[in-house]
Amino acid sequence: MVDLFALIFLVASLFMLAGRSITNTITLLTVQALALCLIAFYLGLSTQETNWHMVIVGGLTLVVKVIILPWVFYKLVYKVNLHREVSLSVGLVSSILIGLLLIGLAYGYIVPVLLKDIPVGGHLISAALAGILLGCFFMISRRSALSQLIGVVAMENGLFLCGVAVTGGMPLIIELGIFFDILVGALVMALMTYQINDTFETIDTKFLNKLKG
Amino acid sequence: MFASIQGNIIFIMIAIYLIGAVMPFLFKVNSKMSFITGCIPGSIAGVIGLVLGLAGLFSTDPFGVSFGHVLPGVELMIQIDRLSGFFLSTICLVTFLVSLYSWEYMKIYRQENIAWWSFYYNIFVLSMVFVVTVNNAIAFLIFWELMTLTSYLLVTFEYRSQNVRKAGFVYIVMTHLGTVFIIGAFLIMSNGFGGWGYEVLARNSISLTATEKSWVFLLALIGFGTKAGIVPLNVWLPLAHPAAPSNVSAVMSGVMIKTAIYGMIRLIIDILGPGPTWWGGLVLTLGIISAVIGVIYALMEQDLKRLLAFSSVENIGIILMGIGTSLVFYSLSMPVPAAIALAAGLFHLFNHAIFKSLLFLATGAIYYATHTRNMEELGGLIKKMPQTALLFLIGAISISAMPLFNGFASEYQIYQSLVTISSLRVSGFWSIAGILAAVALALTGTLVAACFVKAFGISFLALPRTQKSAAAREVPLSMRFSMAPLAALCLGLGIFPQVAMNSLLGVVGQLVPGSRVSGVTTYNFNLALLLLATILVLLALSRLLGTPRVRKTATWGCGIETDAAMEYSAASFSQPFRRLYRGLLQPQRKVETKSSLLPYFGYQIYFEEHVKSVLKEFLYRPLRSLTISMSKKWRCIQSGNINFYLGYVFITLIVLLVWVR
Amino acid sequence: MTGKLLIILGQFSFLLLVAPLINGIIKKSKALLQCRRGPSLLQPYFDIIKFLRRESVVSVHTSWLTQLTPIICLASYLVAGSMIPLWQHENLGIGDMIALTYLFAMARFFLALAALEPASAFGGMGSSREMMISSLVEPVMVVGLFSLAATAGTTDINGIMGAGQNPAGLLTFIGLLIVVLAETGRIPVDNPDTHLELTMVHEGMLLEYAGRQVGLLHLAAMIKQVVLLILLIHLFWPQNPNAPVYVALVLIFAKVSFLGLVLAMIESALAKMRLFKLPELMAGGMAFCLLAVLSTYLI
Repeated sequence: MVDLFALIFLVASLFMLAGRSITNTITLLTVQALALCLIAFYLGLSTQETNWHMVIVGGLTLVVKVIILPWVFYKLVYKVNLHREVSLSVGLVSSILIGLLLIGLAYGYIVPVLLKDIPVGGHLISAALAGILLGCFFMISRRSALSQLIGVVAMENGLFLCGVAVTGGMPLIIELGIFFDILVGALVMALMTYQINDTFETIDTKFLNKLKG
Repeated sequence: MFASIQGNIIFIMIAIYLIGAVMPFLFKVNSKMSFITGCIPGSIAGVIGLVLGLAGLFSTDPFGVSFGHVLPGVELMIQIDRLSGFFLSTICLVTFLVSLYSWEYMKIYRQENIAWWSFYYNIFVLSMVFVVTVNNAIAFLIFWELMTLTSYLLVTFEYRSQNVRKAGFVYIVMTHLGTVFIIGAFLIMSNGFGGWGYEVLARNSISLTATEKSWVFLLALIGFGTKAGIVPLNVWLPLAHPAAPSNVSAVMSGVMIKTAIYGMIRLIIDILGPGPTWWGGLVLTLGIISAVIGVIYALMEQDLKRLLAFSSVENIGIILMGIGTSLVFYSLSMPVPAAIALAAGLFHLFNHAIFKSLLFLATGAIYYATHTRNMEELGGLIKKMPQTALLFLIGAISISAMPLFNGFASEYQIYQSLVTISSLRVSGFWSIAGILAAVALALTGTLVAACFVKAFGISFLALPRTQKSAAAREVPLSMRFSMAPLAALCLGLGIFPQVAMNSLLGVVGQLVPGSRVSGVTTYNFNLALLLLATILVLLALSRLLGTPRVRKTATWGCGIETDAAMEYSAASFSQPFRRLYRGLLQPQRKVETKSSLLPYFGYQIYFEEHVKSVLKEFLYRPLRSLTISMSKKWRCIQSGNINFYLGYVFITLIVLLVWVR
Repeated sequence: MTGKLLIILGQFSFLLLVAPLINGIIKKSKALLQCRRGPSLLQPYFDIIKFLRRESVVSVHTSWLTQLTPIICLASYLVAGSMIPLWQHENLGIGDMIALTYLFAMARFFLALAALEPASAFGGMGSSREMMISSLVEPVMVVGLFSLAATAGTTDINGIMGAGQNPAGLLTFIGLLIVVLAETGRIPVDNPDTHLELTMVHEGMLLEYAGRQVGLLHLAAMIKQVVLLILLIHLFWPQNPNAPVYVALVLIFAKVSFLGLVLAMIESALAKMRLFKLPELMAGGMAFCLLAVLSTYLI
């Protein structure tokens, strides 16, 4: 069951690379977060005695990443009027192929070869690592500032899954801190994006080099 | 001297080839007799060779004949085992028909010296026969060089043209570089042991270290790869094949590049034995790269023979995919799938020899009839030369791997091997690699289909584009007659592939120990039966239901009378692909509009689009400039003074004396 | 032998009879989805019968190839269709998945040749584009089919029945659905309803055909569509092999109609893509299939 959710997570991460439309990307990000929260709930509730830690983490994910962040992003999209396609720095076909390669790397090399000492179920951690790599590549391949923001959140999702996979979740207080962090970070960056749009009439990051003076 | 009856036959075959080489000199240069005496012995010897080859293919014990020691320690001995028998029969089958074909075809070269052509051609074929049958490394190298030299002379047959000379130069430089690597491989293998017979080398190779074995493998791969034309060593192929007369290109593309595959199999599988898995992986990868890149460049060509040359690169890639898969299985010590994969590769090799020589000969027929090979000048030939068109179509269908024909049968076996590699689950890596290789093969298959839809469609269908093709006439009977058996074989092997597969499994059984395969069964006969029956029934039904009235009229051209200028051209057919693979091809487009009076009436458009060869750009050009600049630096030792040169010799002598002691 | 022949004949007649109806269902449901009344479900039958009886107009520039192509197309789709078992699960020994894929390729090969024959620019354009699209589609199809074949360990069609019934199979299914959309010339790839010169691909190739031959080609296209849908059902949603013949046939008809509805919905929801955006669509399909492969082998 966890494997299925991990697969959904992976598919969502990969297909974020496959589209130009930013609203679709946000939807996929939501799906990704939803998969995370399902994983957390499943791990929390499937054991003999309920693991409340996991359930809380899952609930927080649901609130922060599935509800608040997408809402903020959608809001931002409407504000800066960015329904159209974002410009890419890597072509779509090649970015899908590179994405597949990254997944292959995570599954075929990093986890079984580099991390073979870590005694965890392979699938979750591979999916998590692949998620991080894909998020990072997503940031590289998109030029819009909002996409950078989405990429950061996607990477964070991967890190979160990593934490869940390796230790069964970090201590609750740290987890809370991270959630708060990502929420505030995302809000600040959203604000920045809005400002960028105000200044340059676009959020295409290739115009940012005008700031160099 | 000749112990057996086979020995006598071998001797007779060689004698007939030599007669074919020498006889034409006795007649007046271009009399009828010189054509006959040049070509007919070639085909007679071809038949004898074919019989010998088949005998070798099906006999359990190798047979042969010795010519005595030609060099100290080097016994020139022909020994035909199953592998040699297979290659011998392939070579002789193709050259038999090509020799027949040449009889009429060479008449368009009436003004050239036919006697020399016959000499080179027969010696060329004879050297190929020797290459695949001798059992000694030194003799192999000698005949390998002879084969290269004679084929060079054949390529530069029309030496008056600058392009031909250039092509010949590239060819000879590349293949000689390849030979250096082959010599290196043999030297490593025999190092310190002495003896050059294959058996001796095989015994010695057991004591080689793993690193030495890998070096031998790499050197052999590069050396034979140059001759076979794998990417990136294929530069000579698209130059040399179009430069040579079509019948020679048929032999070169159909069988000569296969001798390189023979060398690879002999050296790597027979003599060297199993190696690490990466050998197979490397061969498989090179095969995939050659197949895909070869066919993409083939698709861009307007010259029929260049198109066919690039398609040879692609088919060598497919053959290597079979061999690579087999090497992978071999190193994982799974002899049975290894045998099947190798047999699949050899089967494709044989099929390629057949349909590629058929296509080259048919292209030669087009050239004979129209004096051009440029597709943009052809068109409408299906009406002018219907039988040649049918033969070309059969070749095109076979090479595009359509069911019922032999290309499909062998690619099917390669697909099966790739499925086996991924379903055996030796490791996740190989499972995925198998599927990816199958995808590459599928991609190649569709691109080949596109390529030959273009080749056949543009040159044979629709309206003639120039006067040349409008005035074409069907070629003489002997030319058609020598192509027909090839076409029949295409169909026959497509319907009964198990015949070929099972005898090839016998060949492979000799190479790979412990691979007793009971035989493969195929469904091709049933499929062919059902498909043909369905087509016939549908045709009959269509007749029985009564034919509605058929009106024949010109194609609707939106109010204007259609002419050849409105047809789709070869360049426009491949335009979507050019755009799709622009990263690889880097098309350079130039469009100029010239209007005479008003911008909308009576204007001329000049359009030009070239594709770049990325390999040439990024690999060969830097290499060449590096070589030239290095040579310039070393030029200072060439003083031109004879005393200096004597001094060099003297110094070398002293150094050697001191060093060797 | 006779038994097998009867089975094949049965499959042929099922395909011939059902294919136009499925096309009618797709057309009707598309019309309803777009708030039109649409043609009758039986319209494709009427069309084909009409075409088969019409006078034929043939270009003078053509040869026997043009005459033969419709028959070859129809025959190869029918034979391809008879390889997929509908109610029996005995091995007929006439082919497997690879043969099926290549039979499709053969029909396409001849169609593309015949399109070049009348010397019209539209035919050439259709033929060139069709070959380009097929070079994008076929790799995806092979990766999808081969990943299933490799899990089942055989390329035999009976052997891979239901091989896609697992989470990874879902991904393969989506990939293959994209392939079906492309192969049947449906909307994101090609528009089956348009006769606008600059957008048509499949229709462009048929442009110079008329009368009986165009009827045969339309019928062939419908059969191809049904065969592909049946293939999907066979791989991902097979029925009980022991069911009686009529139950199996009814079930398969219901499933094919359902998939036809899905196709109609997809078609209504999407816009046609530009030709040179197609690599992106196909890369998406490829991504689905390869993900399935990765997740089967690396876990």
